[in-house]
Amino acid sequence: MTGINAMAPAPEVVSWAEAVEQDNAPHIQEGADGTRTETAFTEVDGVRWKVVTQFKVINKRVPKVVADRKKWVKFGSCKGEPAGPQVATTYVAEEVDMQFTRNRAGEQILDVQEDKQTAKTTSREHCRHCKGNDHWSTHCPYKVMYQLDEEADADKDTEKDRMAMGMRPDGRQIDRNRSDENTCRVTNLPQEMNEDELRDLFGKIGRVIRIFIARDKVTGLPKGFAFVTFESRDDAARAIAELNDIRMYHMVLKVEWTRPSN
Amino acid sequence: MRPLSLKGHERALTRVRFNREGDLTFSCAKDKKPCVWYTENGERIGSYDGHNGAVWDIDVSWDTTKCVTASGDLTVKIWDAELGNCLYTINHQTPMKSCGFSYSGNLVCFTTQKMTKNLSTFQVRDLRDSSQMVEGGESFFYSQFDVNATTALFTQMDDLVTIGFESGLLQQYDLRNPDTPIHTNESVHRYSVQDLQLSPRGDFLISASRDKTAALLDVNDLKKLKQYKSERPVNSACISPNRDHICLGGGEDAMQVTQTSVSAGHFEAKIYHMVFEEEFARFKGHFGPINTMAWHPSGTIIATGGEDGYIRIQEFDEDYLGFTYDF
Repeated sequence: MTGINAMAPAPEVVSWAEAVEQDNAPHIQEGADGTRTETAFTEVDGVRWKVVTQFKVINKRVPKVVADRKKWVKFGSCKGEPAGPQVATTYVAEEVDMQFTRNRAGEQILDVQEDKQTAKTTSREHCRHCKGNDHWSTHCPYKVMYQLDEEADADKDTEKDRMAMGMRPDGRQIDRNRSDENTCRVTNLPQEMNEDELRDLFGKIGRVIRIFIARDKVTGLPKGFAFVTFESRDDAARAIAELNDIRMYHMVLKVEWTRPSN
Repeated sequence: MRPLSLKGHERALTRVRFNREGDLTFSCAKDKKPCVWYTENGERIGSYDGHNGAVWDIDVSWDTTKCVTASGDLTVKIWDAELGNCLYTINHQTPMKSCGFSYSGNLVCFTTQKMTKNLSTFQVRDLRDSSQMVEGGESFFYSQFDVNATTALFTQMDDLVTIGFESGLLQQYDLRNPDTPIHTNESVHRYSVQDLQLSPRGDFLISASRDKTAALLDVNDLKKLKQYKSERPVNSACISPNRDHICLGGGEDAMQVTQTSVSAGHFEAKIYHMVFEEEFARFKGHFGPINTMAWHPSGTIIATGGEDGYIRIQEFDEDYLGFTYDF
């Protein structure tokens, strides 16, 4: 690159052929710190290659026996190989940092981790309460503290269940009020009538939320009365007006408001 | 740290060693070809071909003219380190587990494994005696054991050897008095001794064991001086030549990883202070356990061999070289 830059302002370039010829000549440059950059050109199978090699020449004083051993001839698996390291057997691995576990102030850096590892490796005992590895759960010195914690957790779980079930007093009252307000009682019900027929009959009036047919606990036969809950009170009123005294099968239905149980 | 990663072995490494000057690295693995490399740039010079099984140990003489390998094909071979020729072959009935040269390079010690009716043995042969180096030759030092000898090492010139066993036992023999061990230490480790390495000046031994500890021992009487605790089985340990530092490497075996409740990992090499027995640094790199490691004589390089078949040559950077242990 330096050569190219130097050539640019040169006045003696008179033709492109000369410039190309100069650029193709092998040359060597020396850096400030003693490194040398060697540029050579080679042609393989009609393709021109530019080979740039950067190296540094170091003169080192060694004992004579060491210098003599530098001239050893290759043998065995390396027979016939040229001088220098071969890429098949030698390469420079990635940079490795040395970790100091004691810094210059003398503090222990990796102690905690190692202690944990050691404890894990050596101990077979394990405590459920404090997660320690030096005693069993039954012999835990902190058992009382952890048991109190467990009771608190249990209480929390119970509360969660209550909320999940929707058993809050407010919710329950609201549900009950709505149910009682919109419910009408059907008496003189024929035994042959089942829930589907009842739903069909009362479904014409409005949307039916719930139908309950009272049955004998022992025999399972209908007792002859039922409760029907509508979505709105208007629907219930209309059902009472229209369906009261109608004839179903061989009975006359009686539809009226539900009397509050309490 | 910008490590060199050397890929010359197809299977797990079993040993890396530096020669005395540190310019060559010798390595062997569970494939059949021990290799020799230039430490500086990671260039492989050659491989010693001739073994027919896993090579468990390699050692090099002080002048780097000979190297010895112990193999699972029931042989110990002595090679010309420069040309790669096999000079001698020592046969036995069971696999060879470890080998080593003496200080002078004239004696070779090796251990053999226990198998069916053959006991584990420790033997020493003299390379200068041609009658010992032929087929069917007899060792001038021969000792048998009921428990497997896993590693052996010349610890004082050509006279004293230290043997590590699978039971954690350590014994020291004097070759001049071959009947009984002169020192025994059976309490230092509870499980197999995986590695024994001498400090460069020869005054300490470090032993690495599968009981997750490494111990610093007095080389004269095998008394335990220091102990370094890890969280993983220690496969290898080495001592810094110029600082009071110890390096441990290890990890769970591959077949054990799925049987432990703790997550896999912890394949770092850990550096401890020799005197205060505390870990102060660690570095990672291998994908798998570290099977062997060696500290370069200059003190600035560590070579590690792993279960992944790679040798990593780690050169320390200024953070470590400028580190001082505050106490």
